[in-house]
Amino acid sequence: MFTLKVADAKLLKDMITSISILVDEATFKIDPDGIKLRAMDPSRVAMIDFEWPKTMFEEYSASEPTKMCINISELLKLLKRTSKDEIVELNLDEKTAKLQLKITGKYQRSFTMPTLEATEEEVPTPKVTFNVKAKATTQGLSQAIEDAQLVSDHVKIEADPEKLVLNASGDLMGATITLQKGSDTLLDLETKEPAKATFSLSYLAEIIKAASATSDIATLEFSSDMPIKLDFQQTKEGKLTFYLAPRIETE
Amino acid sequence: MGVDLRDLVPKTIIRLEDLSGKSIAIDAYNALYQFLAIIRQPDGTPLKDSTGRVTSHLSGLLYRTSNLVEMGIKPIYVFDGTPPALKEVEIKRRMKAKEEALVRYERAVKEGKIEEARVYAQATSHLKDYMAEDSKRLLDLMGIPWVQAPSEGEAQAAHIARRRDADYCASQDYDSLLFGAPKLVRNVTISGRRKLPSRNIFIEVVPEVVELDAVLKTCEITYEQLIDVGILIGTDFNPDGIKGLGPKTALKLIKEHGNLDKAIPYVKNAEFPVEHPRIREIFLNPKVIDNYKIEWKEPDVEGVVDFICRQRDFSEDRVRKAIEKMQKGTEKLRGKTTLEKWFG
Repeated sequence: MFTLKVADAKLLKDMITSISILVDEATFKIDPDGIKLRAMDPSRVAMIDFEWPKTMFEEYSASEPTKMCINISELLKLLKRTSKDEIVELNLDEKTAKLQLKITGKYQRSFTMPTLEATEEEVPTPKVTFNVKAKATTQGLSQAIEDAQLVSDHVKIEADPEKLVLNASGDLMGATITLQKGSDTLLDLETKEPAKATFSLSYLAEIIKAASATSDIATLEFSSDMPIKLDFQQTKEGKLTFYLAPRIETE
Repeated sequence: MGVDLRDLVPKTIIRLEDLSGKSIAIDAYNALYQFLAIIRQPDGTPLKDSTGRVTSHLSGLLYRTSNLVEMGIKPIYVFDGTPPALKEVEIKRRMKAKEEALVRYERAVKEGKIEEARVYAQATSHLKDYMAEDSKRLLDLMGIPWVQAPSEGEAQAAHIARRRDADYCASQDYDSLLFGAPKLVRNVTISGRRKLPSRNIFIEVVPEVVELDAVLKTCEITYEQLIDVGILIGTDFNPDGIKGLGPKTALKLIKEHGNLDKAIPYVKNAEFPVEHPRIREIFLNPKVIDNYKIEWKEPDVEGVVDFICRQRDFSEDRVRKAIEKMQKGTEKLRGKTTLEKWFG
């Protein structure tokens, strides 16, 4: 038996939205002390690592460890019917393999949806030694990514001890965006050695946009031609981290 | 026709885009037959050039392949060689079916029944040697690798995937699984909107992935047992299987008795065209080669145009656009990595 209750539907909706940008179906690991998800998108370029301790919820109970696989886009459709401050309750009935979603606000409604067969695949953590650690506002990052998207579909991120530079070059146009250490956008920057790596802008844009709803501050970690780790600091407890594989330019 | 495992295998619906960056060993004859069957005029006449040579297969090969490459998929076509002697029964059966279809087609044309004519025409699809040769020539010009299998193309494709030279095998038939393909993807060469035969209904054909490990796990059997289940249901080498015995019963029998040899005494009408161990042997130890070369190259645009526009009467405009799409796909793929590279 597994149940949880959140007092603010928005929190749940935003979290599920973050997951939905990478996967259609997600297998959650449910433990007595919280809920976890680790999944890669089908093309295996990006990964989400998500944890919600039970303290996040008004009520939480999971009698024993279990797995729950659900269709994220279907769940999101239901959650989109909620408005802010409505109470959402999830109940998993393991016998019927159905998930019940109860929304209480101005009026009460209850939905049921099927759960799917859980995947056995365990997604490991990419083994990367990071040389750069940058702390930035999600709002500033979103802006920078939008700038870069005007000219290209990928961006080179370069770090030296003083600044973070985003370079985008398309077929015809180019863009250089500089984030100076200690500025309003780049709050902190630690560079063990200078690094540069190129990433897909569509992934970056979607990840940052979705995660911004739940987070104001992001920590970026990367090294040359290695995956980037984007950790979005949560207002309450909990963890929302993404990894994104680089594009490696071969000449 | 291939073994009918449909009811036994768990499958995952995917989008073609999800295969971006992956290499797929495609059963070439399987794909070419589909092109020949589907790419026809309303009355069932295949596409032809001005000299009467059929070109449906080239049209399918060019446009489908360029679609796949545009999405960042890396196709490898695997062509059948000499079929195993045991396939004779099935080949004869297919020939007979085609002859019958041809008679029906001609009758339908005479009677002016266009819909019917089309259905029978599709069933007459004949893959002639020149079509395979034309296809290989086109692939060479497009820079797409192809492998000549010594025998069954599906066996060779599975072998390539098992050696990790391809991420997936693509075929409509489930036989690939019996040949040990770790991941089979269906509906790759035909996905999209398809008309149901002789009805005015369209359905969406979507790609689906079947993983051998998942099949074995769900059915709770070993790979060897899966082959035995296949033989009971019927394969290309014993097309009729056992009369009145379906997939579910076949699976139950093999699970109950362990293997085919022990199950046979409990099977009514247990008859095989040849001794069943010989059929099993084809799947377990198929004739395959290791010295193939898989390399994707830049397309020779002028070469493609010269071949299929100048010599096979394709529209130059459309062909150039298709090749351009392909080049964009290759460009997008350049430098792409997946996280798996860092999992160690």
